[in-house]
Amino acid sequence: MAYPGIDENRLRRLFIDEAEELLEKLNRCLLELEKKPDDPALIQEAFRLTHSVKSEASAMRLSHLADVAHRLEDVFDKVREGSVVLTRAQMDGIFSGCDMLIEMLGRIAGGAANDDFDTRALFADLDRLFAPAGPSSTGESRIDPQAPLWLTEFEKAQVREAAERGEKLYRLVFQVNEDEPMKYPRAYLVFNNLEQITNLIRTSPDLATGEGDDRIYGKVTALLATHRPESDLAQAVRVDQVEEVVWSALDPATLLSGAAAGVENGPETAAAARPASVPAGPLPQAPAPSQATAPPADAGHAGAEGERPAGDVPAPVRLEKTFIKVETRKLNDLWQLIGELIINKTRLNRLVGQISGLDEACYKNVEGIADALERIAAGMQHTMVGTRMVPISTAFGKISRLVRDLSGSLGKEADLELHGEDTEIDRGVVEVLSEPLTHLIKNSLDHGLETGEERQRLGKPRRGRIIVSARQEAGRVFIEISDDGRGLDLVKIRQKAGVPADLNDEETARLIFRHGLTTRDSVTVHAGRGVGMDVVDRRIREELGGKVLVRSEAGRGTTMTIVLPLALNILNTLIVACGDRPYAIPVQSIDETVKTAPQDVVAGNGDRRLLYRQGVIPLLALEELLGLPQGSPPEERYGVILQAREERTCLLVDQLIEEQELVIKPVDALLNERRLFSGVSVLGDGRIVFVLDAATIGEIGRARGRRHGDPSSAGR
Amino acid sequence: MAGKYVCFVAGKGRYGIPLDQVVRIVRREEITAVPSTPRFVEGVIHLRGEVIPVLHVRERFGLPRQEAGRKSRIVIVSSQERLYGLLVDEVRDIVEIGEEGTDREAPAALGLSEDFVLGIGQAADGLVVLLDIRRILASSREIRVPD
Repeated sequence: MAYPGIDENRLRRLFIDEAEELLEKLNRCLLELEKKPDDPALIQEAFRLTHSVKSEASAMRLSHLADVAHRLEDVFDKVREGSVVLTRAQMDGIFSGCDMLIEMLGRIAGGAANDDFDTRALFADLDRLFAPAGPSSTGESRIDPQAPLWLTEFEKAQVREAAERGEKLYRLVFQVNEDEPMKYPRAYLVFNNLEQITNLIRTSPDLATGEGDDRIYGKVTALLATHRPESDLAQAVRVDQVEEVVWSALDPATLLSGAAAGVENGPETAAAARPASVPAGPLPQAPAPSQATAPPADAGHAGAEGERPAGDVPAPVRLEKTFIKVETRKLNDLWQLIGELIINKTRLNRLVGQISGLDEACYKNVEGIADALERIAAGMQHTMVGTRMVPISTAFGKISRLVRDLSGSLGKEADLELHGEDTEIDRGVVEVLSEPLTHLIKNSLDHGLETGEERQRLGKPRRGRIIVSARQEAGRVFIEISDDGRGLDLVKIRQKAGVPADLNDEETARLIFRHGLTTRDSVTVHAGRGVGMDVVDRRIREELGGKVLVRSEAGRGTTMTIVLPLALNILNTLIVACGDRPYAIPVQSIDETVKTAPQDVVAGNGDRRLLYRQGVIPLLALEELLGLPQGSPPEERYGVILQAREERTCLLVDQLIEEQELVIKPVDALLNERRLFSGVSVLGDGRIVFVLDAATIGEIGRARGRRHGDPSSAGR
Repeated sequence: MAGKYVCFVAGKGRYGIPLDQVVRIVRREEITAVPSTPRFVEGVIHLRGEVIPVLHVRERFGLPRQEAGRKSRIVIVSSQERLYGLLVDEVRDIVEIGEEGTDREAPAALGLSEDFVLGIGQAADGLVVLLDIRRILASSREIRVPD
């Protein structure tokens, strides 16, 4: 049967996915470009990305989106043709274009039927900013052999090599007839000819890959070194429809040193500004762009600064990973099958144990197979977990923009450092992480860092510094956000929170996650309302199964550490028994386990509580919570102290069995009307185990406390 | 409504589940009870890596429980991309209902909760109540069928 609407929707979803990815890359590319405004590879990349967005949008008949992308494409085309070095204002214009694309796409993803958008202001801005348009592409002298040429470090090394071999350097520019419909094949012929007789250092656009719209190959610039006479060059470029060939000999010394000296912000200065700390005013970016988005020209340039011994030029290494798109449902199916495999493997292991006394030879054999199966299953599980992993740079991408935009509007100066962008993390985590991460960084910028003047008065460097780093350690991911600002004002926090002045520093610092707490006397747009930090803490704890740690040193700065499990659907739990049934409790919501003593249990009003530390906390028996028959009396039972949203509840169970990592599946709503469970899993012996939801249990405990008119029952 | 249906009997009625929603029919096996669920939720079973909720159909239809017999089966159905088990006394057969053999108006006349019924189908050997599985699963509202 035909469903006319369905294909369209599917296409649209595919388009949205693609376009989101392209725009994310574009954003990163622009940030990089702002740092190195004259890097032809980046300009080429930006051109290519906007071009792809345009083509895809037109295919989806999203004309406004296509228009904006087209406009940006034109801008990069102009920049690429001329020797224009992008100004900050021009970059701002380009960024607003990129933002508009993202917004339009967001609206479409949200279900908007069309992409109606007022693009006039943006277009007017871009017109104004790029009015002079550098050397015009339609003017008489389309080719300017004297235009400065910027080299990457790798290209410089190649130039040095060539000079040492005594080769002559040429810049060669040629133009394919404007009316020629297939420009790339013509240009490629020239490329091919040149490659036979010269050492091609660079062609721009890159003819070797031949990506992008055909019409970008209208004009090609090549930098080459050769022993051959110029007449051979002339011969090589003699290709039908190729006209306006200009070449000029270059002096390697000038090329290596002078090119940069002529113009400010040349590659030398850009390279000098490149180490770890990059100013946020002109633009923050990671010390090393991640593999996936690295502009191609950068690929072979690792540490190429300075003198490289002759004859030691590495080939341009392309470490590109290859990817295919796989429907997530298929991965989930595979995941389930692996789960099955693991359960059956456990069964087999049991069986092996049982036959050990029967037939020694057979036993040895089966044991060998069981061992092999064990390794295979573990390997599959490991690989499968890997398929869910994406580099954390996907979540970091927005940070650079955030710091760039926000430091400006707050009137602060900040350097941003990013580390460990390649750290891999579950893609589900990345989706949720973005917002809390953004909030923590806003917080560092707004609350943590002092203004430039204040910092100078304190004898600190005028520019503040924010370091965001990620690393994987012992099956967890650690994300640290640290600033070198003023640190937390613990005295003020104690005062505002109304806690004793002698509360220790660590616990005081944790109070910033309490709802409604702010030490700020005035509220800014960005932070200071006292909402947010509690939400950050809650989302990371409840949605991601992680936690946030705070460390602060007065006058020296604050460090927030987000600790996350590696994969979302694997949870470390404590298995407990209620009667003869097992239940699992997430270890992250357990404060500790205790054995209750009769004198600690307070009865009253048909309700029981537990004396715990300096307070009284609600006491619930698991069987009572689940509506099962009454178990043993509360005295001298095992109690699990649960912690959710700063409140503790004691849950009585019959037995503490063991700690175990479980692969969690969602619980059907039909089984979870009271939201008692946060997931379900299967144990090694095939038994089904439900994971208890600590937040719901906490709420039930609290509600009971209120019913009996005792608000102080919330033990802390 | 025309198409093939898996038929089972409960009380006096004969009921049909659209065949394209039936994933598998399994023997009744150990069902793990789940506390704090409606009476008609029999529990969960573990099948091929999935934990599947099982509904007791007699209970769901407001009929008295019966001792589970040898012919008792769990019909695994797919609804909204999730799997559910329907515990029935016996799976009778698979019938084909033609377009002309269905009646949308009849359920009310027979005293059925029509929300949960697609219609009444005329099979070669009698009437079949064609069930709307999605709505039966989506609600815990009471369903009445004649005993």
